[in-house]
Amino acid sequence: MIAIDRRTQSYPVVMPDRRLRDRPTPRRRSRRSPMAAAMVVAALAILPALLYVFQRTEAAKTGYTILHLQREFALLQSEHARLHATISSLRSPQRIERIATSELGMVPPRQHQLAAITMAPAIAAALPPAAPSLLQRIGAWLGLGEAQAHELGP
Amino acid sequence: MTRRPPGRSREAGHHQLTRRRAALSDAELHRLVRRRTSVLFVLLLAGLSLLVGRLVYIQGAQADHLQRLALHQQLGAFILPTERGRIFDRAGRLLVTNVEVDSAYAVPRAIRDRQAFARVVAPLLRMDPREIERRLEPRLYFVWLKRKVSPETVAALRALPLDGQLGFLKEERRGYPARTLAAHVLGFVGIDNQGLAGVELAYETTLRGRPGRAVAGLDGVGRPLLETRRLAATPVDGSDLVLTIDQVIQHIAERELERALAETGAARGMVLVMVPRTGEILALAARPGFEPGAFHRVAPERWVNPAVSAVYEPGSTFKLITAAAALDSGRVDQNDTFACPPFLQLGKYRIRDVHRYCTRTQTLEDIIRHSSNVGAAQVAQVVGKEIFYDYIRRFGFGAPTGIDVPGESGGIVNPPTAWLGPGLETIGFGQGISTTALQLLTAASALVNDGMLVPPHVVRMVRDREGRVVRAVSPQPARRVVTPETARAVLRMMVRAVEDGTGKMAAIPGYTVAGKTGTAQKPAPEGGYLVGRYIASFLGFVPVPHPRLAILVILDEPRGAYFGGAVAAPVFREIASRTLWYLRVPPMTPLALPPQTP
Repeated sequence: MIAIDRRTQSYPVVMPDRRLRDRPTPRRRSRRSPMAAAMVVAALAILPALLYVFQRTEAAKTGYTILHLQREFALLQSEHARLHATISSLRSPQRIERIATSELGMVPPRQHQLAAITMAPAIAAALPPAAPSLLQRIGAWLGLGEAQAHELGP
Repeated sequence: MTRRPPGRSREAGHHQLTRRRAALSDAELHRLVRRRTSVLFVLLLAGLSLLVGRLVYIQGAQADHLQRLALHQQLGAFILPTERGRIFDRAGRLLVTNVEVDSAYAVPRAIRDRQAFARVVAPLLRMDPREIERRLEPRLYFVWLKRKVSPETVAALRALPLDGQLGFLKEERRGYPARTLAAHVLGFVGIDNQGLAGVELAYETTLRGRPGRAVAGLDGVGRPLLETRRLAATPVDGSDLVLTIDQVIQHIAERELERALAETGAARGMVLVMVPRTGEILALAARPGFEPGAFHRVAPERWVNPAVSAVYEPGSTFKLITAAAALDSGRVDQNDTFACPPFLQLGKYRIRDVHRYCTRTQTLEDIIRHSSNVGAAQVAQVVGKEIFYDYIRRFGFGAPTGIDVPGESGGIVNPPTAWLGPGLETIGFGQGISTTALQLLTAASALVNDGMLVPPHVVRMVRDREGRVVRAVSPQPARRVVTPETARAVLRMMVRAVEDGTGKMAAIPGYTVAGKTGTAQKPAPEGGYLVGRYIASFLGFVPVPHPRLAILVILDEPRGAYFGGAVAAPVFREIASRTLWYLRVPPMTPLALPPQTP
């Protein structure tokens, strides 16, 4: 039996081109150099460390400044205390009396040199307390209130 | 470097080795290489093992020790100093402060010639060169030479070419601007600013404060790195004290006391000024005195505060207590009369008056006014031992008053069973009993407080460094010792004693003064009394009826005139009048007109 082969014939066909997006993109050569990338990475890694060192250095500097100022403050405080002691010794009653009697020729008041001024109680009560003068206010502001202290009694 | 044998060149050695290698078979060469490699490996392993062993030793066994060393090198522990509290008078005037001074130290390790060093430094420090040489032990890095030296000495020492051998450290020293003023009250401190006497000792914990502690990393030159500092304890400065003492009144008391000592030739003396209603001590003067900043230059006996520590027989001032006990117990009435004999014979003892002022009878007021020993002895007999002893104790004799000054004595009050012979009678006029000046003034002040006894005190308040009141020292609760009627009656007798009695010289024009004189013989150590040695005193209040001041003046062993009314009463008058003017207390009666000048 004779079989007849089915004959096939193929024709060349021009197929449409693949869309652009379906085409695999050619590997483009990177324009960044690897050295720069390494530098960036290194910088990113080192930056916090640098910041930390900077901060520590600044803190140490500030610490030294504070230390210096503390010493200066202590010196000034010491000087202030010394001056205060000097003021107190200059104001001591012994010294004032010695100068008054030996240098200025003053004497303690005698009985007949004193006078008691009588004030009616009503008048005394009605009197307003004397307002401090400008000088007294400035003195108080400067902390010189001690000068008035000897007027206080028990 | 190995030396090659003479006559043998490098080439000759190389050829010999090549020949030897050629003589070995491959197997032998292989074994040789393996053996050498093994030896090298073993050596390396041994070396490595040693290193590992060392590492384990350091990191394990030595870890704690090395860690401590490292910490010691890198960290520093610091004591944060505090300032000792200052002391002010009642008006805020500075009495004690702190002044920074230099202390000199030496570095013995850096000193080559100790003898020469001591010879140069000793005169400037006013020290014995041998003492300095003894201190300079060569193995030491630090030794104090002298602490708290004057600025002049420091300047002279700094001028010496002793770099590295001598140094200075800042320290605080107590400064007393008023020098000797109120020295017995203020007291003094030791070399480390610890209170040793007076208020400085009594209020040591208040004044001292609490030093802080901190740990900090150190830099290369040993400076602390503040940013690493950690506080272990916050420093707290000492609090300031405000005393009841008034600087001006204290000065008046000291000035008048010194004047009295010079005029009477008395060896010692003391003055107490108190606010009777509150128990506040305004002045406490004692002579001989001392300078608190240089206390070590005087004998320790001078450091004692005689007003609170020394006991003495009060003499006639004690008749006030006898009179109060007699009236308050109801054993004696103000109108009762007592005999006025020339003397009172008690067994082998005879009691007599110095000045016989009456011949027939005397009242209790007369006894106080004229200070009659015979009369006081009779009053004591009427009161009786048990009741009298009870009143003596009620007035606080025989026990400390509780004043806030250290070293207070309670006085000597024997129980009635020990009052032998004329003990009752002599105590009636203030002999045979010992009190402190403070006890006597406190007890007598009850007479102006309607019979209430107010304990004394010298500190008014405690303030922090900013001036805020931390603690106000309120007076201790008063207790009643006699009725107000009794107190007023005795006070009236005291007024009469000044107006027309033994205390006339204490009178102050314009003011009503109540007072009582005292002249006591000094007891001898072996018993009995010393001949010609007396303690003259005057106790008074002014202005009556509302006294602002209670003053007690005591002069020990005055020469010449020795009666309290003659030598102590004028001192009272001067102190009281100056103090009243200073306090602006107006006179109660018109003052006499000034004399007309021609």
